[in-house]
Amino acid sequence: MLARLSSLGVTVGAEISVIQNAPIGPVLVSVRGVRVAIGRGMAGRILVRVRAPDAL
Amino acid sequence: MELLVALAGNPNVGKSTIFNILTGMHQHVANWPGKTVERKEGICKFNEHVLHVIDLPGAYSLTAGSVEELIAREFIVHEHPDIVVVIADASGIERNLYLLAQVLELTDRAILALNKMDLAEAKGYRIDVHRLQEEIGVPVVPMVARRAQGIKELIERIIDVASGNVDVRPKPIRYGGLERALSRLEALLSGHDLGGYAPRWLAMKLLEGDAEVERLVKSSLSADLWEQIESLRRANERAPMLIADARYAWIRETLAQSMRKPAREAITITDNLDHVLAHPIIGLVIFIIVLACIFWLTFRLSEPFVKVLDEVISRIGEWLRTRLPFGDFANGLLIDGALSGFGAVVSLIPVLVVFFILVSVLEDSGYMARVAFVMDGLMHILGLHGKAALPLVLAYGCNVVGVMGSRIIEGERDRVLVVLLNPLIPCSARLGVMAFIVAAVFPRHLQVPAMLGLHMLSLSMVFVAGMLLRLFAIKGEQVPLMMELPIYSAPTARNIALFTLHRVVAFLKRASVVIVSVSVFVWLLSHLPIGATMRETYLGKLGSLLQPFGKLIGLDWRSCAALVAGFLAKENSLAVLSVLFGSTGKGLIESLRNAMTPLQAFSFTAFQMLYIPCVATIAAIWLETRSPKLTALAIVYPLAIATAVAALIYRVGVWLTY
Repeated sequence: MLARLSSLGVTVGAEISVIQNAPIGPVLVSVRGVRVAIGRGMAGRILVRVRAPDAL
Repeated sequence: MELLVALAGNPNVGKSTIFNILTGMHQHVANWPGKTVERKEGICKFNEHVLHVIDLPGAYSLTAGSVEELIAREFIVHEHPDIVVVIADASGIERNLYLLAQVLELTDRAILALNKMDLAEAKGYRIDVHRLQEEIGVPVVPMVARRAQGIKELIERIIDVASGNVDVRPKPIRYGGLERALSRLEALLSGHDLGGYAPRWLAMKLLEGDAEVERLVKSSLSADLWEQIESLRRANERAPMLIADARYAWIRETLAQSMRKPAREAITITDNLDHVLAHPIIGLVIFIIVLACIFWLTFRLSEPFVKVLDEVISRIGEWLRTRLPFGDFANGLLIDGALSGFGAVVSLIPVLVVFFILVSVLEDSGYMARVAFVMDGLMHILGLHGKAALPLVLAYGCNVVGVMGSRIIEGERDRVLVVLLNPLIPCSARLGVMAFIVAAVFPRHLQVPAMLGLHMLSLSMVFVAGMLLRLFAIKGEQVPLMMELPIYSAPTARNIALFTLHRVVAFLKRASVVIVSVSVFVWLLSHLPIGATMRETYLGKLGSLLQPFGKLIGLDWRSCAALVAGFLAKENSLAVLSVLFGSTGKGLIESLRNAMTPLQAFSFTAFQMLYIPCVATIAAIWLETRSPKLTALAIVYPLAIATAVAALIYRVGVWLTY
């Protein structure tokens, strides 16, 4: 799973933004310039830190 | 010069487009041995050079994460292509170079084809191709394959690299803290026969936790050596993450000087479209409409063509009957056996052509990925991939379409599951037989409930079979959805035409022999010995032979014979019923009403709805899976379900009425 996430650009330290997060179904994110859909269960296991607003 | 060229790339980067332009009509499409994955190869002639081009399956990486990835990497390692062209989507260059990094771990002889340069520009990316080429150390060819830009340059670069005219010196990837572990593993592995893989590459895959490499190494080394490897791996548990980081660091360095991104990415058409098409509710509604349109178009648009073809075939039959000098029996064998079997194959052509055109438009445009996305939540309940909705619904029109449509699904496990579930879905031919018998035998007020009941029955059987197949027959966990949603782009006529052509031709090649032989066989069964009454023919005898089985589900020998004939095509069972029941000048409807109780009719239709798929569907299943085991399973398990269900219906029915 880790290898698959890495190959889609989701790695430790990568900048990721949520494009769409409906109550059910997969989450749509943008990472390394591409849109990636991630199943809900898996998306819930990705931990993120919100970037400080001044860096945005 | 003769060259073996492999095309590698992520899904949806325009790999097929480039392959199609390079090879044109000189293509050969088959499956990878023992896999449900398509293998496309072709020839491209340029001046005095001949390029043998292999289109590797789309893959995000070269780990053993999926069949596609495994096939791609084994080809690169074992077939030693002269050149590997890594096709990347320039609009997502950072992520796309991840595959290049992995290819470069296997081979130096690579070229980067940077496709979709126009989309990258629209996004505001400024890519300095020359600079990029210097940084990576392999030739870079900018392309817009959709408009055939960059093709000639790509071919020239391929030849340059192969003939040694260009210096290829890829920038090495540095694995930092892992180097020590890597070289120790490398030392342990070198000197052993390990299937032609380079020790350093194996060392890296071991650290990455690649199951396939693990199996290979474990089986070829002594237990003692393996224990040393294991302890090295335990000491480097974070290696998979560090390796991925190293590759992305390599990409970042490469792009640092050669690409500029705007501070804020421009809002593209894709962003706007996805607000609607990927919306959890609106997107779902739109997909249902799209699905209805595909269904309607596939079967309605093709209808006039099917009718004309049917008419032509039957005219040819009649014409032959009056001209051929062979006598009734041989004429019947040729015309009602062989020719009508051939006609059944031919009349599927328009349906398949329309369906594949529509599917390739959806694929090529990027919409199909959205289908997977919006349907994922719902289909997940069934344990299936989001895209499975399309082939499963189309199966109500024709199982052959449903089976062949399963190709759009990623992941072998899900694809096979959808192929195997298809036979349980009543196609239009079966619905026709069901409706006829229900209308003939049931009193008017029970007809609608009976049809509804049959539909509910088939739906619940799809659920049950899906569960059972996942438990017992199909290995592997369901992979959670993780996929890229590509940028939308207009489909190209060339891609649509070639995709449709190859799929239809493959079906005709495979299916025509099978269907014609079964048609001849069934005709012989029902006409031998010559001059016998129906009861005395082999078909009749087979029906009588099946009588004990028929008793179980409440049917006599005539219905059994009809079911045997229905194996050829479901509508055939009606034809046999009308021969067997429709005696003494009465129509089939009236005769059926006298011969069958509603309970028997219900058992018959339920059985007929669920049992063995028709021979065309079996041919399609064989074509898609290339597995005798799975094809046999697709025949046997619906038969078992049909028997159980029909027996239950009949027995409970009898018990209730007494």
